[in-house]
Amino acid sequence: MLSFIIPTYKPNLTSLEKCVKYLKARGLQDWQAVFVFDGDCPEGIQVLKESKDKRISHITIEHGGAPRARNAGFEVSKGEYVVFWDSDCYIEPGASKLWVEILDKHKEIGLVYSGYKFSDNRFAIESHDWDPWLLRVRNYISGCFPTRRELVPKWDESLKSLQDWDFWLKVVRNSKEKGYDINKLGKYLKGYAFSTDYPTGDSISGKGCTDEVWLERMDAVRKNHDIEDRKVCVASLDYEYEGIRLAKLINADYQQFPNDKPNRYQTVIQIGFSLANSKVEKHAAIFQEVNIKKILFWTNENILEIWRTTNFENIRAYSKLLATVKQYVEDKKLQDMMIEAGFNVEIMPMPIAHDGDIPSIPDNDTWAVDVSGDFGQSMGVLEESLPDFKLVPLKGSVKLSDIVGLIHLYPDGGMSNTVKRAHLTGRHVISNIQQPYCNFVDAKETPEKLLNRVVDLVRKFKGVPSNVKANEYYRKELNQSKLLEIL
Amino acid sequence: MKLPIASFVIPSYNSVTFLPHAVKSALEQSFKEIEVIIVNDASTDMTFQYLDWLVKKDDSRIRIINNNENKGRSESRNIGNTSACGQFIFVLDADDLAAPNRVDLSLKKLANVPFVYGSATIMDALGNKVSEIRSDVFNLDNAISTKQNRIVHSSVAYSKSFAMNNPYEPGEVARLGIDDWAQQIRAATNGVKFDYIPQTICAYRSHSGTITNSRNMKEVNEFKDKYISERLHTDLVTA
Repeated sequence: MLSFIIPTYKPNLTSLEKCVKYLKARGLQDWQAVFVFDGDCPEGIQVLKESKDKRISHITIEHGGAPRARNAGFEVSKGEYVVFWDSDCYIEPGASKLWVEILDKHKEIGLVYSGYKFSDNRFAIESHDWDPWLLRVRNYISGCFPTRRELVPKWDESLKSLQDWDFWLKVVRNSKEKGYDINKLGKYLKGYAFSTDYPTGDSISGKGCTDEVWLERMDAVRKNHDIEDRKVCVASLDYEYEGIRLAKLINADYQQFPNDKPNRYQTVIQIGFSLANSKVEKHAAIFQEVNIKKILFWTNENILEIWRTTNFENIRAYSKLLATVKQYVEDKKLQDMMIEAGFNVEIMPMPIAHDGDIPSIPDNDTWAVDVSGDFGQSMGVLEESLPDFKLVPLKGSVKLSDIVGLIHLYPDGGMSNTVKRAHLTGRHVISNIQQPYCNFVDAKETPEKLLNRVVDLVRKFKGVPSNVKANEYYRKELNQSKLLEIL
Repeated sequence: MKLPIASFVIPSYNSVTFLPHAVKSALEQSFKEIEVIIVNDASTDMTFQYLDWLVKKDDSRIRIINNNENKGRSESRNIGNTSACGQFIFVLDADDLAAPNRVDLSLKKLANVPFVYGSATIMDALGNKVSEIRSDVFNLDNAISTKQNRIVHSSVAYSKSFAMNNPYEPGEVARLGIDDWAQQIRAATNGVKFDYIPQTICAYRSHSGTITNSRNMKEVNEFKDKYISERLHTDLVTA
């Protein structure tokens, strides 16, 4: 059974009625809702009575805040699975059924979560793939998602805000004690599981916390969980995968955009800086703090963009603005390009964390494709030329360990981080960039010769084991010692 | 098993990049009673890997013939034609594509004449259209006097008996890539009727690697002169 525990304080009766109506209409049969009135509320009780549903019960406690109400509700609830809900949350069709199915079937999973949206479609809050490390940097899971009864901790009644962050960290702690593998604990379902009224300030869930008290409230949770207040932050608007890996490697925080909330960072390392009009101001904002150390790793894509599409004004303005930033590129070719464009850059390949063991090459004949510019069309042709293979675009959801190799074609590209990552995973790489262990295809050849060469290589790599030598080479090249020295 | 009506014959030598495109275009005909015969002329590239996969698909429409040594284009076409079960044979080179309605349109004309051809798109290596060749009435005198071949061979279809009576010639003719031209003027000389389809029924890939572009035009023209005066003359006399 799934128990919804729903603390309510001075509820908006229309919302309360809607909340109940949605719970009743959503397909799952075996559930209960325990409303906890945080202070007397006869009108609220009347609404529940009108629903005439035995699965809906309520208790009333002396007013003491949402965490205490949740604890009281949990005491009287019965479900094997528990979700701490809010009276202005409206569940999406099928969500609760799916949660129970997953928790029934996968005993290693301790919590299931998604994003959510606001009722008037004003905007949606996205979540993030499960990563227990990242959960210790910031909370990306709303409190309104289910977990197993055996993992439910007490809600900390002393916390003024960020209670849900504290709650999930405790769920992780409990699951560790009970022998769960915390790397597999969370199951992220893309999409939105419920909608909620836009917070008005007086609702029980709506009391956000202001910038003035933010750090203090963060500290309170951090203290509960021995989380270090790190002074270095890796930030990236476009390269989250790389950002998180780098942050883990050098024991820094990772934030997509650290300026959202007050912080005490003394060093900010930004990965990627696009000079495109639509993006440049946000990138610059990450470096707006005056008294911090700033480091920037330019990416290949950024540099190509500068050379192909950026207007001179932006280049002039931002090369000046970035003068106080230590800027790095992957290799000599990119350094030459950037110096010519007026940026003061040094060479340091961005360190990348590696996973230790090299995963073996899968038997699925799948290659990831990462191409840009005119090469896009070639890929369309290749797909038909290789009907016995699968070509997938390299996106966030593609894991390198799930592919045989990478086809990487970039016009006038320097050394690529993606290619290095692929090598670190022991994958085969076909690329027009001459870098160690790449299988070179010459982009200056005719399209036909280029296609023939790629087809030939993809076919010849069938059954070839992981590239161990490339892995060793890049492990050495991409270690973090130089960056740590600078920090 | 019911015999197919249309047999595609695709000779292929080291065309692993484009052969799959050609095969797909043949298999995706709107007319369904077809077979596809691939004559792999001892390719030294990775063609075998693709063909292995094709065999495993267990598609009864596909037949693969592997030459144990490189025999050249003419021989490969003849081998495929001999083995074809269909009443009509559809020529398709490994670099080219058949339009989905090619068989449908061709069969209508093949009811009256044994040899048909149609208009063709010319595409580059990536499949972009670069120009087109409109089909027109075949004029034997012009074909002989200008020594030009206005018929895109991958648009051609003929009856099985035409194929048996007019095999492609090996040797010099094949090496210079004029096996199709020689076949046409010889057949026409012997009184075979041709007809054409105005619609575009195939796409011909023009890129640096094909014989058509790399062959020496002067050498070809000299050979055509010789061919007309010696071989064709003999044919005309014996006819």
